[in-house]
Amino acid sequence: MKWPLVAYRIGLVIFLVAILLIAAMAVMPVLEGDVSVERDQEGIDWSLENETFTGEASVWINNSGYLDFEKIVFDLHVEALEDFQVETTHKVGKISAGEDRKIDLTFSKKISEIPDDVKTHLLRHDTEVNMSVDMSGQYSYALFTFTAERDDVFHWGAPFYDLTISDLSYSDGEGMVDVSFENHYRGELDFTVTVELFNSQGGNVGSTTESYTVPSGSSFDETVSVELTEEPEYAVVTFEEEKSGMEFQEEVYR
Amino acid sequence: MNEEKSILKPILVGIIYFLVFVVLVAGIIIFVKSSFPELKGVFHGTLTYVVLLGSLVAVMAAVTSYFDKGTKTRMFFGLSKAGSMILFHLGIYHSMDITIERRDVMIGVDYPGMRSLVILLLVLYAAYFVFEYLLHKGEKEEEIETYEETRTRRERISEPSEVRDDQSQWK
Repeated sequence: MKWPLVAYRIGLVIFLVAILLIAAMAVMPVLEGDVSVERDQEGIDWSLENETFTGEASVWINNSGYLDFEKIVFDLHVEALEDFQVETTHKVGKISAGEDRKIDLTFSKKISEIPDDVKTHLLRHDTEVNMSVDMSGQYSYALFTFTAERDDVFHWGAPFYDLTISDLSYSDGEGMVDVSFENHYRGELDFTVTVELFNSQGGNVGSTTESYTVPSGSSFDETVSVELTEEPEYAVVTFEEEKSGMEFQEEVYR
Repeated sequence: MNEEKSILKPILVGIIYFLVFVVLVAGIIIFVKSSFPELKGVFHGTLTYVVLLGSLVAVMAAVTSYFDKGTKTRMFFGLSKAGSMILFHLGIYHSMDITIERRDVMIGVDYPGMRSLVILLLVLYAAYFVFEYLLHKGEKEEEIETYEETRTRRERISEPSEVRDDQSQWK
């Protein structure tokens, strides 16, 4: 055999061995568990601030393999009550070999974009929120590409859970309404309650606005009193969450 | 040149290629399917592709090895052998859907970079037969010329000379 052909054959064999080595370097760390994508166990961190409804979840990406991860993109789809949907994309970029990184996946929606019935439901009822995360990425030079899909259900704790407003009572020139609920929301609840009382003709006979703070996980039970000029027929009670500006109303009668 | 060619070598080459491309690959697939049941759904008729296209590779390898280096026929079958290897690779690729469900996560895997590398390797392997033909062509032509010359010389020697015939007549 001529030496150029021998050299060519040796080159082909080296190329083949290199391909097998690269494949092993990409696959072995995955099989040995050195490459992992784990969801943070704390779930979603919710916040209602600046007239925006925000959720934040975290994912840990551990790349203890030999090759870099590139073009990592997370597509989030959050859905609750059918009418509340948020879609967002997070471009993470590159995670080098040996890196262990926490990725914060945030989604938000302007309060004004949420339908009123959904807002009221979220304020008053604990809700299951479905979150679907699609992750895509590739090894260096697109040697291998991958996609991962995961569906999770998270719990949304309502700030005004189990809200009860008593019937309007009247005695000695004072109208009274009892309000009670539990704050299931993760954070402290700052809110105002406005009670407006009306006579049978619909004329305003008195009103008051009170501010309260309820710690997370606590119960609230208060009586709101209003000094009146005449006997009321019914009251309109308005609750407003201060940080987000979300509000809802209830009418109560004597 | 006209000596009887041994078919032992092509048969051996064919068997080796059959063992590697059909028996070994099919064995790996069967092993993976039985050892990792969650990977069963990855293969969609892959074994059929392995048997059909692997056998084609083995036949092409056997036929290629039958012909001498420096001949166009060997180059043609060499290129066909590399082509059938590319078909083998693509056939396996198209019959696989690497989607795995692991702890509530659906993972899909593809390997465009690796696929390009393998195809590049096989294209280079195909080029090897062209290279081999060009290198051995001159050698082959020399061999043919030598053979022709030897044959002509032998024919001349074996021809009865007219002079000798004439001399025999005088006796």
